Amino acid sequence: MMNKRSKGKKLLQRDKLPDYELMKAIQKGDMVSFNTLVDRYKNRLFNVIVRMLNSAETAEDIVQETFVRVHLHKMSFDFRYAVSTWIYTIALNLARNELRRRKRVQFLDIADFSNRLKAPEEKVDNSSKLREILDKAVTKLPEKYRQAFILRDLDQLSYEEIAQILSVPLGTVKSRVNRARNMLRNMLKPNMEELYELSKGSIFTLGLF
Amino acid sequence: MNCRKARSLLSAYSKGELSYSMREKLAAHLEECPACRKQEATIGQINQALLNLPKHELSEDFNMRLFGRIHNAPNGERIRTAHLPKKAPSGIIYWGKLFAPAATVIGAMVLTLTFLVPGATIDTAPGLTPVTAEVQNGTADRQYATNYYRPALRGFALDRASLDSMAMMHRVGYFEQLSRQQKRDFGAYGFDNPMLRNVSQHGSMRHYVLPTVSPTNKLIKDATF
Repeated sequence: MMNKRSKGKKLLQRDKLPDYELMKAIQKGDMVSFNTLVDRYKNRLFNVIVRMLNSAETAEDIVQETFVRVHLHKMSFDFRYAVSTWIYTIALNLARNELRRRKRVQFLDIADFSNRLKAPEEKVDNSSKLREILDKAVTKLPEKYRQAFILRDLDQLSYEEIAQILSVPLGTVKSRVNRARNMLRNMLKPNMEELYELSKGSIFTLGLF
Repeated sequence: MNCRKARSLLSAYSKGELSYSMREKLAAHLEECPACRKQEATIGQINQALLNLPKHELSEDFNMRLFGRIHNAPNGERIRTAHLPKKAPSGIIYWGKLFAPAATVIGAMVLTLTFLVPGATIDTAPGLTPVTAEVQNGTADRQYATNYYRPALRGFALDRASLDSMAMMHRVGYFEQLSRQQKRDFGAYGFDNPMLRNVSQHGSMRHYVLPTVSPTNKLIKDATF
């Protein structure tokens, strides 16, 4: 009796449950837990995939497809792995397929996509200019470096997680991230002076330095 | 440490990802090299800007659409399908297919004739027999095709029919009258038929154990020879 009640209480506050508890409930068919899991991951996934594909529409489709698959294959989830890793793996595989498809079709221009991407706020001040420059530089990174870089520096995942998600060795992930950072720096070199001036206006006044 | 090496390590340094000894070495280099220090500052700014990159928002009805999709999605469990033998097309369709071109020509002729012949009314215009009409507009074919691509249904119908006829023919001793396909399906051509787990003969009795397909499983339990 006591046990049952505490369990009920636990399920009421699903927001606080760890992923694997949610996953257990989902396997039993609990859609509210599934909703919680979706809310927990959808925005993170979306932002990663938007950066990878440079298209908000496609990215949203892919996030949808990811969760459909999570639900479809919920019973085959292996509890030895983290739920987050599993979800990211599905999403990134879908994104990679999309990139591959695009390469095959090749009728769209990258510039075309970035035009379609609308930033939430459209103020033209120094900091947004800085972001714009960075945004463009990130999209110019080669695919495999970009993947690792986005997961590490934008989504703040650990190297171990990234290694699992991309199924490449840990050392490779580290070198890819480092390579991507250096590439980014070199790409930004021409803008360095401009960036320096810009950041003086934005970040320095924010008191971050 | 030289500047080239230092610069390749700067990003990792700014993230605190370097080992202790490396960090010390780099810090020492940074103290005596103003160019690298400037680089370090810029990298710090880049990192900050990366963190402040605009976050994209999903549309508001995302969850609703997702749940709609899941609700309408077919069952996730993979249905095991056995490779059941193809069902031969029934006579009407088979002959109908052969004569379809001829039927089309005749149909067209009849149509034109009815329109050309004065006094003929539209009501009597399609002077085609039901069979050719069915074949012409492809409904019969489509019916067959849809059933064909639903393996469970196909297996079910076929097995029941075959089982019935098998049982009947065994009892009355008309085994020779089974079609070749039926004989093969039920192991009449030997024990090496992969379709069948086990076929054995005791006197005049043959025992058939069909592969484990769920619809037929039930039938096997019911069927007795």
